Amino acid sequence: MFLLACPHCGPRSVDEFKYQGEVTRRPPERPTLRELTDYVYFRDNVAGVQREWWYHGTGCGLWFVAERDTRTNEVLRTEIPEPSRGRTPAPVEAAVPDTPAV
Amino acid sequence: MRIAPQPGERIDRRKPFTFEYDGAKITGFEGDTIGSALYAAGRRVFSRSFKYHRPRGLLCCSGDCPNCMMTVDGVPNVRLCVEPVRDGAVVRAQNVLGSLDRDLLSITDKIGGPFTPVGFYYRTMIRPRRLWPLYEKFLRNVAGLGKIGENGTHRRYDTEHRRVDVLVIGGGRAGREAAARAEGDVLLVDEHGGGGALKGRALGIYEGGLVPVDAGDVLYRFRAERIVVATGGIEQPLVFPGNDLVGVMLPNGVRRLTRDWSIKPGERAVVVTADDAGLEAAGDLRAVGTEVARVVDLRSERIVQLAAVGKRGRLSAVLVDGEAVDCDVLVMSGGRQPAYSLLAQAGARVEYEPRRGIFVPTELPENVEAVGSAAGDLEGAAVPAASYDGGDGKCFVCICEDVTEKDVKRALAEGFDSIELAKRYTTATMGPCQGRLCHLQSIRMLARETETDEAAIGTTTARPPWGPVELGLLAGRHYEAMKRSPLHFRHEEAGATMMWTGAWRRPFAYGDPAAEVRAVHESLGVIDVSTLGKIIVEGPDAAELLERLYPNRFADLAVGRIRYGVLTTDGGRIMDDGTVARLGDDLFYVTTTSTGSESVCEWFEWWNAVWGYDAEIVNVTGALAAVNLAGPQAREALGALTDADVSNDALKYLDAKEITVAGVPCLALRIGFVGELGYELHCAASAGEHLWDALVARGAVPFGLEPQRVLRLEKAHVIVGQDTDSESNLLSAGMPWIVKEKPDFVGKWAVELVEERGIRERLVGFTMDGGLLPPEGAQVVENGKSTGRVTSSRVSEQVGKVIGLAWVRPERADDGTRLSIRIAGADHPATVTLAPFYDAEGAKLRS
Amino acid sequence: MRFMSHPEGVEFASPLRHVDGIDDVSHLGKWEIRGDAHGLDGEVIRISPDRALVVGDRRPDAPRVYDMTAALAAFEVEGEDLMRRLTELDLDELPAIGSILRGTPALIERRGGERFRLYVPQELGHYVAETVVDLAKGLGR
Repeated sequence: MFLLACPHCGPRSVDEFKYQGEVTRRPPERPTLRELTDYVYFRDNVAGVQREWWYHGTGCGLWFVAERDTRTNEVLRTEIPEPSRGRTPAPVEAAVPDTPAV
Repeated sequence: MRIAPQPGERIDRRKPFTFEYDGAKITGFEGDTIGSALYAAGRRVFSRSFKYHRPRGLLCCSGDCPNCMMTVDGVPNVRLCVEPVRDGAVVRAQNVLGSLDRDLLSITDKIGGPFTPVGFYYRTMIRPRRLWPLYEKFLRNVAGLGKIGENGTHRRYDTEHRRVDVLVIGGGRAGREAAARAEGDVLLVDEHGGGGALKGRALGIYEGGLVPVDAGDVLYRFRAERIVVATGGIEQPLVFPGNDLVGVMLPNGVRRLTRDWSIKPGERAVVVTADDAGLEAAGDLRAVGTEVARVVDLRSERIVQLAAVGKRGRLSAVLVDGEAVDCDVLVMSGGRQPAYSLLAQAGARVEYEPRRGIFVPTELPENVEAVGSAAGDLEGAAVPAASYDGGDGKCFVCICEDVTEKDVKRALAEGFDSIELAKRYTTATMGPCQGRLCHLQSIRMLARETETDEAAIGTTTARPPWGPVELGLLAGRHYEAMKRSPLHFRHEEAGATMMWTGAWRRPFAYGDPAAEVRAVHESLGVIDVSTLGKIIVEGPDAAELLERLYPNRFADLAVGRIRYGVLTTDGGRIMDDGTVARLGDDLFYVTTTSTGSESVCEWFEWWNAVWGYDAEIVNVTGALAAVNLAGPQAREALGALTDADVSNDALKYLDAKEITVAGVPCLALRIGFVGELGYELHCAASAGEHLWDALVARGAVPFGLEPQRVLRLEKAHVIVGQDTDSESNLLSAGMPWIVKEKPDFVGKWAVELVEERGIRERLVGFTMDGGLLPPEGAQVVENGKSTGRVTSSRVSEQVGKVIGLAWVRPERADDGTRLSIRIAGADHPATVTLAPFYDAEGAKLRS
Repeated sequence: MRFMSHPEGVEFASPLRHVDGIDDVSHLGKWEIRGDAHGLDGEVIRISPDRALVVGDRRPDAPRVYDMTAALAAFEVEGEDLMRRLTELDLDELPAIGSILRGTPALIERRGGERFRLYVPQELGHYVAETVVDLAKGLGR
């Protein structure tokens, strides 16, 4: 159980978090079937550094993005998505695979 | 054979302890182990070997080898050489048929050789197949080590988390010195305790500096900034014919018997050693009066032949280069191998050092340090031969698994020439010692036989646990996180039959489910729906966020109104459903399914993290109790408990309104999951019982989940996860009306693509023509082939039929289509019914 | 949203009311603040950059406040040894919110010396409190 540094709480056992997969790009316009299945089902699955979504579920409840080396579990960087209070929402830059928690 | 008190002995002769061994009373002293007390009482055979049932005696007295494993107080595989004596302990031999001295299964040693070669269990007892049950019974009986009692052992295990700056593993000289040197919060752990060390065995080194330590009834989970490994070195046996005979010992066995426990190990001894340890053992033997007949120091004397011979498995003589020496003790010492296992687990590389003939750890991870013998800091020893010839006795490479030199050669001949393969095929190193006394020997033998060197053979992967551990300790205490509704104890008091739904305990029914259904249809019922997920979405962008999360429209939902909503994923899958009430321009109250509350809340928060709307998402599931008051008398009952106007004009179907009921402020949602006039009342969890009591006092009949399932099925309401699965989408589930024209929502593209390509199956209602109830999961068949399945089915008194929901081919989904449903092998007719079975127009809900 | 708050004149049914041997403080007022929580009255515990819990009888004066009094069970226990059997959290870095009993979220604060207060979701309160009482027994209490 490696340690993952929550950007708010600091290093915690990884079992406090939920892993939500690679950061993917949601198609900005209506995709073809091929593009949709690519976005929903296909992952790069790199052996190396990747950007991924984590949720500190048994903790502060923060969603954040971590850069993790999948070979060593070393987390190089974490970032909290920019809070938007009072701003117009940003269009979808990076988003979400179809891996909801059920 | 206890001798006179010795200076430095570890026993206190004034404190005797008595235990029972195979019916006899044995007495030892404080400081004794059960093993030493038995040895002092004259016992020499401590176990029978795994495969050949050869007699085995004390060898290492370090808790490493398998030779002294017995069952103590019902716990199998206890190593007696390190198990302290205690009064009343009951000690039993294991893996024997008969007694240790006369084990009937030892026949395998006499005749078994040719029949039980390495890998025999892959080849024999396969044919004829019909005899397998017999073989299996036999094998079950003879396989494995000690037996666990029929009922297992029920002990209390706890887990404790500790944080330290420095954790030192191993309380030998090097470990103690490292602990004294270290700064900050330092903890020393040692398998035998003492000297201020925590008594326990480090089982492994995991990521994040995690070190679990087995302390018997407590598993300590250490998180250490720095880990110092001082696990020492392990005395290595030599490989020669007869090297497992009772009387053959490692130097530490002799040292502990003589110095710690003042026991004379035997009358006449021979020592064959590659290092000083053997010479020291010779001194120890002489000191207690054992004659040392011959000492072979392999550093100065080259020998070719070495063999031990015995009678009835007990050593009687040693042959050294043709010379026979009578003896009852043989000390063998093949030098010490660094105990690097924990280091290798932590990520260190292990390198062969040909000069000393040992493997040493290198390239340690940053947070790990090795000191002393474990680091390879060992005196020079001669490198012994891979094996010595000299007799026709069995020559063991691995005593745990009874793997001989012949077995290793045979495995090689069959092509298992890599150490990882040879290990799995021969099972050498896979027994209780986990390679402590056989790993190096296996490597050395493979190197010799393949005419290469040990470096080329390499080691097998080191994995936790480093030493045996009880599964109960690893499992730890049983945690069953049970969620209780605020009304939980009311249900228990009412004698409800409780059932699990996810982590929740909920009432199945309070009595007869059919009577509870009737109460709702005819008068008044009340059900606890506190388990529903409840989420507040508030902020200037709240409506916009929901617009994008749901296929439905919410921007145009009027304040005080409710809309049913279904969530889908971008893959189009139906994820959850519930109601959304608008309580203010910027304030929405969302309910989810009982099992979906956490995942839906996460889902909302995630998309909001992606999109960055100004909207708070607050999970208030636990904050609120909720009940559904339903039945023709619901308005009357509610009206009697509130000053608010609850008339059909003031609180219409799908209205949401804050009212006070029985003195409790509630959010009243007029919705109709169960098909009758009904109000969901949500209030502070701490006031739930008060509200419930008031409703029940007004005559509401509590009803459970089972009656609710009948009632919702009469309305053909879908339960997400029961009637839908990971393939279901809004169109196939028959909810095209949910989907609204708008620029974007999660799942929009998938729905559009499904629309273009058509659906493959469709969820429909059905009624059985006869009275038979198909089980949920029953097949819908056409021409004998399965083309669909039943997801829900119940007997409905109200409808007067058996009703249900099923997935069918779209061509078979029109109202009135005849279906065949297979029940217990026979096909029974049913009819597709697309409208709800009960009150199709929803007149009751609006009444 | 008055329906979120426990009404006066109605007995407060604590989620821990059926657990013996626990120091129940569930009735304390608990308010979740979203956004800026600086300068608020009462004890302010930061949960995340954007969320805080205020413990006190009076509703804090902030734009986005949610009454969580009934949502969280709260109780106090004595002893670091007991806490170490509950959680891996660093007891020198409190208050903190994290996992107890292998997967139940809890907000833990130190109430001086070796006294700790735990806030847990009320629906799990009975289970947590019962388990804590049993773990204390394992330590001979």
